[in-house]
Amino acid sequence: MINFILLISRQGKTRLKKWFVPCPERDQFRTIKEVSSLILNRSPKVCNFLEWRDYKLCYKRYASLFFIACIEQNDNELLALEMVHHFVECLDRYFGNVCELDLIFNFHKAYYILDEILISGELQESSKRAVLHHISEQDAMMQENEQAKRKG
Amino acid sequence: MSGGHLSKEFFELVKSIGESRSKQEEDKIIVGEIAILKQHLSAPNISAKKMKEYMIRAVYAEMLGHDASFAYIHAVKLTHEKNLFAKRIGYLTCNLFLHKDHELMLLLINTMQRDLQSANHIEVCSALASVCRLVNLEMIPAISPLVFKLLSHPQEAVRKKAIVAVHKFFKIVPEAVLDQKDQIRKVLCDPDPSVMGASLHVLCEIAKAHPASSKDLVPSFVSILKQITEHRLPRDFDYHRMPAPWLQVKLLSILSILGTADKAASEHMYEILQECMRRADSGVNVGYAIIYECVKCITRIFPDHGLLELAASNISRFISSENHNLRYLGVTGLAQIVQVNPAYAAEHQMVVVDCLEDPDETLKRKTLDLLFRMTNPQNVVVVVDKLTFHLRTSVDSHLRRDLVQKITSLAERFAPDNEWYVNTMNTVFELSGELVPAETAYNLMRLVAEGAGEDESADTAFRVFAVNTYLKLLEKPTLSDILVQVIAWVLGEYARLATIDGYTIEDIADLLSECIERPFEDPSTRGYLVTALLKLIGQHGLKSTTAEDIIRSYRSSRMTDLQQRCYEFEQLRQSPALMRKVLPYDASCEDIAVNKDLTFLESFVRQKLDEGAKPYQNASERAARAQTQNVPKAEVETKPSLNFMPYEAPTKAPPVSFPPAVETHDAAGGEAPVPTGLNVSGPRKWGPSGYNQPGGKGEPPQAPAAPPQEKHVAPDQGFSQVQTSSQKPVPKAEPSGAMNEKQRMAAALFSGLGGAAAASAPAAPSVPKPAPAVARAPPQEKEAPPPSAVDLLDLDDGGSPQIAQSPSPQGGDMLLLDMDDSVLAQPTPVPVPQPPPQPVQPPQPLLGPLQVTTPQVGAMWPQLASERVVQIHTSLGSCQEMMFRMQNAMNVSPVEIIGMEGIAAGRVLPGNDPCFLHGKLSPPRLDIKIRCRDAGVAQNVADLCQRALS
Repeated sequence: MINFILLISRQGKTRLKKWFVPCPERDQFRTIKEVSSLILNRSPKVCNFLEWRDYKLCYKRYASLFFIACIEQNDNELLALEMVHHFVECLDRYFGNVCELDLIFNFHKAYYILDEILISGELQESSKRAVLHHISEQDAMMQENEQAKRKG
Repeated sequence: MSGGHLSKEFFELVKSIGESRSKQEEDKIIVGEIAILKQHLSAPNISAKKMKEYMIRAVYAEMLGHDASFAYIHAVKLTHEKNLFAKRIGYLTCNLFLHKDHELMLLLINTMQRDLQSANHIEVCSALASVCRLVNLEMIPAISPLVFKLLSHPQEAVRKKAIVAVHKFFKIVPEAVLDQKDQIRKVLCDPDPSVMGASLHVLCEIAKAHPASSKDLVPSFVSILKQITEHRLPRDFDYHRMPAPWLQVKLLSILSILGTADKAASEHMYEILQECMRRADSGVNVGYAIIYECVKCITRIFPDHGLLELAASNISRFISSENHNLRYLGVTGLAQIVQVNPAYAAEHQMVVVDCLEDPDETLKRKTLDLLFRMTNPQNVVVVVDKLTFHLRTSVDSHLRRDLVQKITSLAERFAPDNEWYVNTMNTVFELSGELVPAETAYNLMRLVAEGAGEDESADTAFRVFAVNTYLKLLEKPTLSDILVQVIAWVLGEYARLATIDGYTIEDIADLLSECIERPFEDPSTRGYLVTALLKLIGQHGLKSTTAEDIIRSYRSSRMTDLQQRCYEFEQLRQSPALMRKVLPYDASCEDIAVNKDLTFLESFVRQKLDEGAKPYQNASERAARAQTQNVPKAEVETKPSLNFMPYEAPTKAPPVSFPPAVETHDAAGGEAPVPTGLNVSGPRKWGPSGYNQPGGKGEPPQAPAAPPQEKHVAPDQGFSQVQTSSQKPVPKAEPSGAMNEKQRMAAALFSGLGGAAAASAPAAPSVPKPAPAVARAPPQEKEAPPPSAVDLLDLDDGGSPQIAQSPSPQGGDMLLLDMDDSVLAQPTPVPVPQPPPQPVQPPQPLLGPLQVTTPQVGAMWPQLASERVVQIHTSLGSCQEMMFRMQNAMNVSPVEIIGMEGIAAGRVLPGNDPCFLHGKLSPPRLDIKIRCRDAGVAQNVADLCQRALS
């Protein structure tokens, strides 16, 4: 299973973090620091996997953002990368040519999308259309709610 | 999208954070923001919209590493709201803020329960998402019935999240979920593929925990996988045109669990695995991920030759790819294939050497792992050199610990000679003594003390070597604690053997006493040194004032253990004769007779009783207030309970209970000839079973076809070993200039892997692989092993060395045939060739001894499919007796005795399959549990037990 997902910018700023295992805030913070320095320092010409403590980190750079997934020893590394790619494709489809700013200003949306794709550290939805369908359904419902309130 | 929908305040905040130039500036902004938020939140009647924004701002603050706990309660309150919008924000933020043991969880349970029963499926989904994230042990009884009900909810999104929640329950309390197994299995047949897919996760966990009870699902999993690969799922599930790759990989990993060591289950899978690999090969990354998973599965299930070939050919494509990720997968996959059949590694030796020098740290590590797995007695020196080099250069503590473990394990299993072993271990101790487990040092000391046990003069020579080595080492200014402990012990025991000029016993004692003053991390190290001095003084009647001064000065040490030793020294010095008796020379392996009944105290007790003392009663008797006059014998054990009586005056300790800590270990070892948890016989046992010794990796020895080829070669012949009978242009040990550095390295690394033809490939790639028939033809030409080889080979059947020298149509000949790569050409890996029928043959013993440790037994136990339980009415009184009987009558090795239970291990002859026996003795009843792979064997062993142990 995936232990956590991290999005960090090239400057090392956190854009999104999600832990799927219980982890105290302070450890998360330390982990982010450690992991981001490890990954930002890797040359582009090496493979996208990294052994870290007892886990494996799979990361990929999209424009100025690094998407990092921490998986367990027995997991399939390449598949984890594809999962990251799937997430990116979903973001791209939802925002339309996603860029870092979209994630900065709408990071809650990114969390919603991530929640649709991954539940408790396992990929649950490999269909982009289904993910986007769920998200737009939620968006619509919230809008209705909002409108109803304005009228009322 | 931009920030247009945000409030001005939040927009400014995000913008200023984005523009901040330093962490300090960022912190300042957030501290201000938190103050504003606190103020806002304390206002009454906040609208839902405002509240949402505040919550998100609080999440933002937490994300940047600040504490926003003041907002938690508001998040929980939001979940109580009727308004769906507010509720969702509430759940989202609760998921981010809280954890399962947070005190606010109490306030959330009721809301969750209500929402799980809501008619609105979005509310249910939000609650389920929180359940998945936040559920804890106390909540499960309240929540699980509701969640199980949701497994048949009309909305597929709800069913899906519900099964994930069930998965979470399983991780916390497996029992709660196993009761509802049928319901979970029903989800596997859900009409919606994504719900079915979600159920695979929990089914995978269940299979991992209880493989036997999930075996009946194998055909279902296979058929689902078949349907997926045939593209029967809706197009929605395609990812880069690959049908549902995540489901495929999950199914494959479940199959690999269920197929482990189960031939029948594995046979169901062969076809689909082949099909799956074929269809996945479409040139996209996700396809490679599936192929890689197939390879993993193939190496774990009961081996099939065709599939292994297929896996190997795919892996060789990966490993020679330009893509770094694929190369990584190639090396990792190869490491797994090598465990089944080491010969496959030979093909890729140049690539492996390249990977070893790759700048990519990850790739390098994986390659080291591969090397570790393909080590055999011929290449152990080179591989350990490589590992040691990385241990020297690496700073990552995880990697270092891993390397230490690998080097130690290799050195213990494959050491070509004792000197090499000692030198290797010294290097490890020196480089990272703090990471070495104490057992490793004990193993080394034991080796010095006991020697190889075959030739007394060789053992003595080895001791001399060890003493000289350690004496030289002691001159170094800094030494790790564990090394000092080993040095102290060896010199204390055997200092008189030192043959270096200019070192007398006095000098050694001085060196040791100087050493005491060094700073140490482990306080017991000084104890080792003091005891070593004690032994030197005791055995040689030394009068070293420096040593005595130092020992005296440590009487006031804060370490009570050290103090004790110093005071003991003071006392012992009074009577040199006693001292010599207590600290004898070279007696660490002798048994120490412990008088458990303390009979020597009888007269003392009688005297006291005559003087009117009360007879001793043990705690239970005192508690029972029973009639007590009939306990004349003193007993030492008391049950643990509060003691309100003053302690008796201490009686003088008997001399036998005096051994210092170092010797305690040896005493314990010497007392029981049974090997305890440690595999101490490692360094001296590099027999052919060494490579595929199952315990080493916790993997079942699925491929007994591992290389028996080392039988005909001497380990010290280096890389010239790669040549076997069948090929002509082979890189020689003395290369004629053609062989460059890398090839030399490759040849050294890959020696003894059996892929003879492959080994020559880099030198002469155009040479066609010899047909297996050719390889088989000239076994008679095989060189007679040099005499040294015969000594070193610890073959199970004592006759083999002669067989190797003079091939005759007997078992040994067949073994030789099996040595070259004709193994590859055989359709199925035949474990060990049966010798041709002979006119008169003594009955084959069913089992042979197997050296494993208790944890290894524990790891392999569940993987063995067949179990037999026998109840025997026995005359045996103690576990030791039982073990002895097992050892004699059934030819198994004892593993451990724990109280009235004993574990023994054997391997099923012919072959290497483990068979474990667990006996629980409660006289006159004896319960024996037998575990092994084959049910027939288990029955035979059970019959044998009945006969042998009644």
